[in-house]
Amino acid sequence: MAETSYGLSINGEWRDVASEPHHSLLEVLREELRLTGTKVGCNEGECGSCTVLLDGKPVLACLLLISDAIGRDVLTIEGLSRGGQPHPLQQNMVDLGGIQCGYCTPGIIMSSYALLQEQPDPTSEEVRQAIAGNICRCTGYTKIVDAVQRAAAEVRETRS
Amino acid sequence: MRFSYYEPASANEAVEILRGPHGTFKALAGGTDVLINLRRRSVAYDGLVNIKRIPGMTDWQSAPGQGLRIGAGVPFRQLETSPEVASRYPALVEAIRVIGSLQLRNLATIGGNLCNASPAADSAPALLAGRATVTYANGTGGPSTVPVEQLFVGPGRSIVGTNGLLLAVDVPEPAPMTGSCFQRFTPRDAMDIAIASACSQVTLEPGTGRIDDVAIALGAVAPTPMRAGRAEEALMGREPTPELLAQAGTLAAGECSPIDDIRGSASYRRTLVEVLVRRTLETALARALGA
Repeated sequence: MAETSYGLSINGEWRDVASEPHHSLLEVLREELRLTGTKVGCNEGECGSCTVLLDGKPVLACLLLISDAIGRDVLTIEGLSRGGQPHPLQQNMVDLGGIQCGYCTPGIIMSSYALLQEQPDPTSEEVRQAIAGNICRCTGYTKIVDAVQRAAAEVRETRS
Repeated sequence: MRFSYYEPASANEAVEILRGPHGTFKALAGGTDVLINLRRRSVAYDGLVNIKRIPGMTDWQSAPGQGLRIGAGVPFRQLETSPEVASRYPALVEAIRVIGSLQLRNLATIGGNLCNASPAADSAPALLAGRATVTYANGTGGPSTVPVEQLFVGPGRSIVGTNGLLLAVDVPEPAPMTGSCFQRFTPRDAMDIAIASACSQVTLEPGTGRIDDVAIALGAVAPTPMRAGRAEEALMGREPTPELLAQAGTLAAGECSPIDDIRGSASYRRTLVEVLVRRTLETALARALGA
């Protein structure tokens, strides 16, 4: 199958990528665009480590074909920091010990970021629901939940 | 290996490709089953037919008194996050919310869930109990509309087949004094497949409080999602006492045909059915009274 050019917005910037219609967004992000923050975990939609936001909604990049991402707005973990400053979600994960191997981290942060857009003051149960599709084998989730709630408070503070 | 990809602009065009002589193609909606099967090489296709550009596929409408019409390509998350759908079709939303993950449900579609035809498909018991119909095209004449129980032909097999195209799902408007509830049992709280599931929909007769209409559907305990007809018969026209609900549970447990597999034994599944049917009836009744 011949290569085609696909145009889409990645982290606020329009990109044209060469790919084939049956390639996943995950492959394109990592292989064509070298945005390797989004991880390949199970590659079958079970682990959540490939979570990105598509038009603001969390999706699994491993199961989204590039042809279904044309013209859409994609936000990856690389797009969260502003001017080199980590987003409060990223910083708090580091500070509160929500990271061990780090492999689940980008996906969990993207799911949490999506949560905070809808619910700026989540309970711990709401955080757990929001990350229910992201598996972490290392931390036991407690410090992740703490980090998300602490980040939520910081974001609310900067906005008030 | 040549791999083709199509984006038909109409249902007719899609069916032509699916039925055509150029190879074996698979309809692609959310891709959350199809792409996994392709990668595991449990199936081999010559290409994919992306059905999401077909007009109407990704639309859904819900108007008071007119039921719920859902294009086969509507992602679950859209239905799940609609307050209107949640208030009028609570069991459907309860079922949708347990499917996969939030991220998955932004891609996975109701049509794909049905056409994948897993005996454990979570949307199925809610659609069965809701007396939904499905509309599909398979190239012979116009589209057909059938009750959703006719969709499921066997484990992993639907009446749509490999060459057909599911177009829409219709859920009729619930009558006044109707309540519904879906529950399933899984060892994990998320990202799991049902060991057993049940959905009950009950309509009460105003004034007498007797059961005017009831539908009980079961998942993961038979080759296909099924209705528990004998349990329903025992309830029709009767006053819903705790003993009667318990009896319905026992009957339902007896009329399903679960298997022993890695997720659970047949006898455990029967026990779960007994409990889930009773519990979903109780909640459906409470909702009917509150409605």
